[in-house]
Amino acid sequence: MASEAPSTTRRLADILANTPDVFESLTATHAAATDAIPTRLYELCRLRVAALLGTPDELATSELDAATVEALPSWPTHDAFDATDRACLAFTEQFIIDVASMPDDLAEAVADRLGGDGFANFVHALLALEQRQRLRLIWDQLDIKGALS
Amino acid sequence: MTTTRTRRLPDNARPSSRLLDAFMDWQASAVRLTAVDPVTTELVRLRCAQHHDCHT
Repeated sequence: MASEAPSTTRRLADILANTPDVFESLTATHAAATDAIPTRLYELCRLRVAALLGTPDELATSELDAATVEALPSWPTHDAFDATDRACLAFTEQFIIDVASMPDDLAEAVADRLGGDGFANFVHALLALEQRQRLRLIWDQLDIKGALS
Repeated sequence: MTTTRTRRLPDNARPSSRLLDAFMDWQASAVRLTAVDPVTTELVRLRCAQHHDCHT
């Protein structure tokens, strides 16, 4: 099971306390996403998204070993990462920075490594983890203290 | 600017049904919220579609 910073999990739960349908479906999406792709890929991409977005506490929480986490900023060249890791991380970076400009070759590289169904699962899982971090960041920025009504 | 892309997924490629169903439930539950007025909601939906290059 992939991980998430406890502070992110708590923040989402607190904000959505008055909208249980939304919270429960968001939680179910998270659980399905973490089960849909290998834990290593989920964790690599979650940590890379956190580094790019500046999500608090996420980098301090991981199922990966410390050496891999430390090497992650150097993923294009570091030998801790294989071709599948690199394809998925390249796709992740473009997805976060400018998803509408995703070039075909980045998508094809992931599909080549994971297969068609695997690629579909990967993109959905990436969307799920991105949504959670962006929601947390937005609500932090708005400085919302209690639950939304 | 209109960009033409090649198809990226085979016709029969699908995410897991559990994941797809969870996403559908999550999106439906968010759409059912009423705190934001319909005009603002539609503006946000259109902006998100533009951001994601979504044409559906």
